[in-house]
This record gives sequence, structure tokens and C-alpha cells, in this order.
Amino acid sequence: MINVDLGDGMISEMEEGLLDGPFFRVIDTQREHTEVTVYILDGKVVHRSAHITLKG
Amino acid sequence: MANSQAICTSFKVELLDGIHAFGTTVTRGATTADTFFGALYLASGSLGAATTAYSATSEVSGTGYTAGGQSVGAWAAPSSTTTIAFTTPTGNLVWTGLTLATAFDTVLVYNSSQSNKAVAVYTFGSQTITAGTLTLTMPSNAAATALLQLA
Repeated sequence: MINVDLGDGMISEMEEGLLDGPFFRVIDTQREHTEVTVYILDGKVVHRSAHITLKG
Repeated sequence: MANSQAICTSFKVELLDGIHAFGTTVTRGATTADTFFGALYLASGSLGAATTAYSATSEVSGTGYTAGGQSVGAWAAPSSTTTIAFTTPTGNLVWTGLTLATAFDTVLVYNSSQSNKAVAVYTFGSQTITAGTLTLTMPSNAAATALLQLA
């Protein structure tokens, strides 16, 4: 089950199999290492999580 | 306007005045470490070296986020290597069940035990969160990598 926002501002759960994804993106720079996970439904992002490793 | 990553200049001066305490070896009356918070800010904000304290101006808002951010928790005992003093929170900052629809790119660490005085501004790539989790993972605590380094 994945937490989703279907555009109404409320967070609900959906079966992962009903969604497109997950899609991953990794950003690695001097300032950060970031991994983003996205799920899409009907062409709209309904879940987006980010894991950012800070660098001092 | 844009945010810029920096150790706040006022914080450096306040360190010399013994205002901030990350460890328990202090000369103040209290021997407990101060409490520090991490608050998130919009990419349209203007935080940086000149930031002196927590402010709600340009702070993010949305489901799962409480104004003021959340406690950073304990810090590693302050230490030094050559001429660099450093410390890093021992835990990560995690928000779950979060929706932040407006782009944000900054976390301000501030001292809630000392009138919310600013410590440092950390910037990262602009993000939004949708019904998800935001994890700010701390770097390893060493002179060259610690979250807070004073050269």
C-alpha cells in the first residue's frame, strides 16, 4: 500500500499495483545526495518521497 | 530572492559568548545540552548567513508539518581534528505522511533553548513532497564531513 494524495489534499492508501511506478531519481552534488521516489496515477504525481543526505 | 547555505554569523559570535551548548561540558548553571530544531523553508525564502533566529516567514506549511519543524535530537559530543571543531546530530530528521506542494530547499537549524537563535542554514535541491516521507539524513561525524564544522 502506498500513501497517495489524489488532489484533494487528503492522504489515502492505494495498492501499489494500481499506480505507475515507482520512478526513481538520484541527485549527487557537493551539497547533497538525494533519492526521490515517485508514483503516478492518470498522469499525475500522487506520491513523492525524498531522502536527502545533508553535507556540512 | 534565494536561500544560501551558511553557518550564521551571529551564531559564531554567540559561540564565543557561550550561548550555545551542544555538549554537557558547560560553564553555565545548567549542565544539559540545549534543544535544537530543524525547520523547512520555501525555495522563495531568503535565509542565509544573516539569519539570526527562527521565523515563520517563508516556512513551509502542509499536511504532516508542524510549524517550527521538529527536534533534531542529540548531537555527537563536540570534538576536533587539527583546527576543525565539529559535531553532528546523532539521528535524522524524518517527516512522514507529508505533503508540501510548494517547492522548498532549506532547513534551518536553530536553538529553541536560547530564544530560537539560528545555528545554520542548509540548502539542497528544490523539492516537493506528496503524501510521502521526507528524510534529512545526517552526514558522518568527522572533521571534513560533519554537519557543523568550525574551521
